[in-house]
Amino acid sequence: MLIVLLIVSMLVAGCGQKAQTPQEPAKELPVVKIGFIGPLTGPNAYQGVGARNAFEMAVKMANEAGDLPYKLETIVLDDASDPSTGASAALKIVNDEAVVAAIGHWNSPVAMATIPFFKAAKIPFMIWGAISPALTSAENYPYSTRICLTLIQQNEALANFLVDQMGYKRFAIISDTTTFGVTNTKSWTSILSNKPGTELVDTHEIHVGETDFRAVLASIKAKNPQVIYFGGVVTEAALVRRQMNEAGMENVLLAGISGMADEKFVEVATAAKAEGTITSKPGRSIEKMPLGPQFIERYQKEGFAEPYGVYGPYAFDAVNIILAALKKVGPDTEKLTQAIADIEYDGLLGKTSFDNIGQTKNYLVTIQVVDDGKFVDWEDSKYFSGQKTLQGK
Amino acid sequence: LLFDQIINAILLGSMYAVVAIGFSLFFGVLNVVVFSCGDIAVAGAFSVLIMYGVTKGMGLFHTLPFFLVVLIIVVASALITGVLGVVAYRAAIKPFEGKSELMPLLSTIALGVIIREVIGLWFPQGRNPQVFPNLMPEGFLFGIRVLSYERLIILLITMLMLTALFLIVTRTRFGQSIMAISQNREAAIMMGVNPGVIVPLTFMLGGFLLGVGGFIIGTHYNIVTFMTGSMYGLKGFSAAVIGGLGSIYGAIVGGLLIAVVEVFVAGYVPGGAAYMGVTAFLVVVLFMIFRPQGILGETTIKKV
Repeated sequence: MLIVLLIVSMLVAGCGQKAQTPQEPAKELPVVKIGFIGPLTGPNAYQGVGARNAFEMAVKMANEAGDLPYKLETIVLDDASDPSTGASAALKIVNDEAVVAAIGHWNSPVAMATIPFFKAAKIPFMIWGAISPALTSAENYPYSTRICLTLIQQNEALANFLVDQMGYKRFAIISDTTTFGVTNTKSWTSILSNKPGTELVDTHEIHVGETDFRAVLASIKAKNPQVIYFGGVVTEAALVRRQMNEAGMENVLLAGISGMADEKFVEVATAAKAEGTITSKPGRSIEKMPLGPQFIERYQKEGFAEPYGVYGPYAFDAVNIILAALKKVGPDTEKLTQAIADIEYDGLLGKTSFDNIGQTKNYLVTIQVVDDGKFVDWEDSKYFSGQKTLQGK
Repeated sequence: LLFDQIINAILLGSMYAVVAIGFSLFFGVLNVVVFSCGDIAVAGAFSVLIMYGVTKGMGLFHTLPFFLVVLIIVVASALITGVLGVVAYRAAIKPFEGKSELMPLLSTIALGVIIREVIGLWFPQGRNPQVFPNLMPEGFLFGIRVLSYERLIILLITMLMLTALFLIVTRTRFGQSIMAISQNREAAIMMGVNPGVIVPLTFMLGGFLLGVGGFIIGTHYNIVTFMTGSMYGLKGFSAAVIGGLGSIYGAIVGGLLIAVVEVFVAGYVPGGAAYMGVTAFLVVVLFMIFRPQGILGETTIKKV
């Protein structure tokens, strides 16, 4: 009985397939899909939606330009900053026959969970926003490449600025307990230990999702640091800044890498309290890049509800690198993977190429400061021009 | 520093206490643990966001004095959660009356999930943290940092809520009826108390108080997230258990105790902030082992 059923169902399935094939019009260009995964909901959604918009825009522009013999389609999936959600999204993408490449992730743990799927399916995957150093490695090369800087590269630039350029000496660290936070604490501690004259007065860990950091801050206050380095993400960073002021630490600087650099930080912390916060940002500000104004103009024309954020340009270039490789070698994923890894691409972010583990060699880092409620490049700020003074100076 | 930390602990304790009194009130009347208290409080905070938008849209901030508008916002949103309290009773508790006490336990957990998800899905960008409007005057008492007006008003509202609740329960006919039902349902009915009216009213009151609690929580943290309801529910329940379930003062004592443990672990143990949750629940476990009736709870004697 069972066997009969099986055969019948197979026959039915077989018939279904046969019936579908001839319906496809011959004139249509073959469909090639590119996947996107990122945090579109949840606490880090601000970072994901900007990248998603830029991704959609890049694909749309390529379709309009029409210089590829394919019809490009997108699959956009949400990872909600959650590794298991991300893993099922990755599975969905690799199971789609038409997918030739994908880009994704702002959260490193999620990338950690999805890269094995892409590697197993031999589909090239490019990270646009996750910055844990472990994500690009000899084992994952060439399937995983990364267009943004690792957090170590960012931390070094931030430390050079704060210590060598600004002369801060007494630091405290607050990081969250995620891989991101722990790696930040480690990298910052080791950087400080290599900078003579600096002192690390206190180190604390907090949980993502907590809202009350008053107890931690009161105990840090007693140790009198000039700078609190925050190794976490937007929401907690903003609450820390607010509660620092509440605890009477208006004159202590808050600094961190791009994980907390977002307009939402200013919104939650309020413009007055966010004032003077220092962050590092990978790359140079888009407005100053040769292709920047074009990108911004187009982005505004598309009428997206959300700003492109820090990582929008990265997602944009990531897509275009994939498309450049696609143009060169076609949709064979094996060849495409190698073509991406070997690429020399001149785009929005400047010249991008990848090293022997798939990490971008485009090392630019920009220091930004919150000036009148906005993240402004250090050189353009009122702090640089001397109209304002940073905290702890 | 110690003074700062004590104030921090008192404030944090108030956050837990406002949720804990919800647990205590409901448990006191029905001997039922309503697990959605934290979510009702968070729903209250989101109601404040909605009412803030509405009043702002109506331009009330220009026509009426500031504190009056705030009062309208808070009362209106607390009424919303009051209704939510009644709905919670109708949907998740009444159908199981007279059946196993485990039923409402599960059904109220389910209700909490529903409230949480409805906020997350229906509120614009509901799954992202929402900035809470600043509805308190700026400034500090005696120029002392930790004694901002905002904090003092939060404490004042908490005190007021607890005193009002205490007075309602002990001094009014309504309160006496609540007590009567909780002590002996049949006898209460015979004395002319109508549980069909009193019990929903209690849930209305509980929902109202939790709504005000949500306003307090939102104000204290300047941010509300739809998911935090379960955390407040758990901490509030723990506070109620430590203090003695069913006792209103127990809720405060329990809330303060958990808060003190958390604040001092975070503030004085090196690297302790990561462990404050663990320590707080360790205290809960210790209490359950050595003093299951709670600090102010009456010893439960089972008559054989």
